[in-house]
Amino acid sequence: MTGAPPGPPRLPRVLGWPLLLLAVVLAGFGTLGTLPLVTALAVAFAAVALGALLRLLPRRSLRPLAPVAPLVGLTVLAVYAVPTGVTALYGGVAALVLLIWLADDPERLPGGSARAVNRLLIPTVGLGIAWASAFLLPGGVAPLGAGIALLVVVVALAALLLRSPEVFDRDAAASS
Amino acid sequence: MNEPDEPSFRWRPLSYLLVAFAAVLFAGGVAGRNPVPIIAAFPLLLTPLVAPILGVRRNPRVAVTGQVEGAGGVIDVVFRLTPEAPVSPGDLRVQVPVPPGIDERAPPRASLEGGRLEVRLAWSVPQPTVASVPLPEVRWEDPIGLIERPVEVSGEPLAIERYPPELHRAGIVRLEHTIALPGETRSRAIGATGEFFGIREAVWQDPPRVINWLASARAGRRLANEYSLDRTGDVLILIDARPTALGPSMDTRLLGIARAAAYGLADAFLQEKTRVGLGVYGEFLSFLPLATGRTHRLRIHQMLFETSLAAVAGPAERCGVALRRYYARAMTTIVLSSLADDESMLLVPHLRRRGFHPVVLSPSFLPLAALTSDLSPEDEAVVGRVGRLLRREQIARTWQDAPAIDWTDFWSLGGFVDFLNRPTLRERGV
Repeated sequence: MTGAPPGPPRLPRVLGWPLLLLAVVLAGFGTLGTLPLVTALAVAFAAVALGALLRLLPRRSLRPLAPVAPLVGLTVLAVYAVPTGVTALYGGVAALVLLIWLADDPERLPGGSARAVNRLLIPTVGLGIAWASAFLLPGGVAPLGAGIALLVVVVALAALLLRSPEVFDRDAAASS
Repeated sequence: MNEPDEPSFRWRPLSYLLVAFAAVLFAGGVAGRNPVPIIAAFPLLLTPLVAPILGVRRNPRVAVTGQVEGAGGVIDVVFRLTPEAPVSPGDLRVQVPVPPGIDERAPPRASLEGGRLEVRLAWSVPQPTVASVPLPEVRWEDPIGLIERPVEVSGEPLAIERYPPELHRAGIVRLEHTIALPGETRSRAIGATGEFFGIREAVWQDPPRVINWLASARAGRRLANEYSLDRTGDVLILIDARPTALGPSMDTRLLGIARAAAYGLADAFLQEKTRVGLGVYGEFLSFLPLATGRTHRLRIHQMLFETSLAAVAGPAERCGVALRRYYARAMTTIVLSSLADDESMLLVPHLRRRGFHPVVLSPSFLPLAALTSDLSPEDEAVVGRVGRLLRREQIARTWQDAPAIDWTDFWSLGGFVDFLNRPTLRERGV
């Protein structure tokens, strides 16, 4: 079985601007955390480099593992981040940049990042609402608990929907 | 409306990965009383959830057109995929199965041209082959690769036909008389043999002997003679598709070569309005009765595309008995067999016993074995020498019952066509 596409050469595709942007954003995120600067930068750059390396591997079966490395890097840096509004916003932006990097998969045609922008609008709005709710509204213990409960519900809902994809199947209109 | 059993969209593994990391970030944020991981988790969680809402709502449709380019053993297969709006062609993932007997020369290339996706496959055909290239398997993926949907593909499959060019001349062979009427049997069909009928514009397939050189010189362009065909006989092409001692891999490749030869031979004889029958013998006989015309040509092509190696080898006598039920005796029969073991060599005597006049065209396994060998040059030379002796002995044994042509240069069949044209000279050792 032969697959298509890739089009242009693979190395320039892997080393494109989304990778550089991800490296810069993750490194910047690392500097805002409690980890020592060298460790934070090492985590950021190692995660990005490993992700790029996995995308360059000749064995196709290992290439889908490429997103794991930047995701682990983002998780480590987020857990050790200083709990401030700016850092939280930066973390959310880093996650969005990670999604843009995912869209720039060299297994697909070039231009995936541009096509993915409109798919990121709702997550960006959601991120903004969550950030504003957490840091701009006056809060206390009760809203925090409500927020956690809401998050648990959202995660449970996500798990439920992932198990039954037919929920999203739409029938065509009778008039079409 | 989606059919009840129509496969719908599904999340790809990346979706599960993002949700899992989102859950880890949530857990880390709650455990560490830190809102940063929770905020960072939001995009990772929301993006897979909104992907089906923002993506296409039902399985998209794609119209596929294709063509085979190139000459000889180097071919380019081009598929152009035009998706219905609003699907972006850049979101299509295409998989094309490589037919057996064909190698991939280079990785596939894809490019966007306006509203369609062009996929160019660089293949090479090391040996003669005929194959049907099915329509590509296409699926739609969202730009991030979170969900996918199967795509309904419409279009026509492509055919790859590569066989020795000399087979174009095979059709002018004067066949053994198998028609009940004695003497010459005139046909209203026009062809390349028989009584002179007229002059026409030459086409590129015309051999030099058909060209009317004097008329061409006077007219300033190539003109060819046409003849009233005198139909004397029919031809039966029989493919031995039974497994042999060579193993399934080698048998499949040899069968692919035999199919290509049968394809070319059938085309050449049908071009001359000869009635052609086709038999494929595996465990049992599959056959097409004698007929001519374009419809019959399509039937033969279809049958050859679908021919594959049988799982079980039927006895040679069964083939002779079955053939005699459907075809007249004394018919010129071109047997395509590897003659690789005793059972395959038994086929020819049984055909003779049932009254057929077989001519055996046997694709040799030696060139293929040399290509796939990993022996040292010295060992390879010894094995090659023993293989040639074995092969010569097989061909000699077959010659006791019928003429057998050892086909080693797969891109040339000039010797075989010459033999069909002048069998008596060849029998005298010319």
